[in-house]
Amino acid sequence: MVEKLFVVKNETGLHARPASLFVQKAAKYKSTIKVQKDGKVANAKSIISVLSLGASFGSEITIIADGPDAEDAVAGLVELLDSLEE
Amino acid sequence: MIHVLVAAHAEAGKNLLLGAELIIGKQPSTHSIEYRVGDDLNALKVQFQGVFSAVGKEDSLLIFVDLYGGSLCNVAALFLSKLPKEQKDRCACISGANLPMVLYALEAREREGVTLEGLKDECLRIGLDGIRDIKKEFRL
Repeated sequence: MVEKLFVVKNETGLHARPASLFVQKAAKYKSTIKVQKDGKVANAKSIISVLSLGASFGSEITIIADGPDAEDAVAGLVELLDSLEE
Repeated sequence: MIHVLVAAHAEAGKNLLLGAELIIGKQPSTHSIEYRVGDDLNALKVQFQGVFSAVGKEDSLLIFVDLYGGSLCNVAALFLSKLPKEQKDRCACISGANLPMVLYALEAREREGVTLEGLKDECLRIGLDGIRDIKKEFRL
């Protein structure tokens, strides 16, 4: 299992459009991927699940992947979140 | 395939689907029914029948209506009441249509092991879960 903490940097947080990009990317990996915030766990491959976290600007989220491509998954998703501009 | 129908006042149904598609892209097997003041209720019932006739015999239909007890809700209930059991079992209907539940239905309906009943129950839960006090949630 691989996990990494990330602090949400964009001002409007992980709202629908970035969440959609995040979920689409997560779906490409074989591993089970979860996102945790304040003790609540979301399925990274479900837009509704990710949105329900309410990951606003400054939120600390942990991306947790478990499976054959877990390292790639976490690295890829962190890279995506880092690149978000809105 | 589980078809999704959103029946709402004015163009709210169509727009709810458009809103969901804005987030997750264009979706197949979706339908909307618009209701305007003065619309004939029999004509509305025919619209529900029309949508259902587009649903294949192996498929099912999840209906979202906006207002519990409103015209669309009651016409949907009337339409469902007239269906033979086999067809009625392939339909489910939820009131209080909102974007979280419609979005979830579209996102989850093709997942392995999903049933109409299970999807309907999850949509009910998610529809309610999306109603929150923002100042409290974001600690503003």
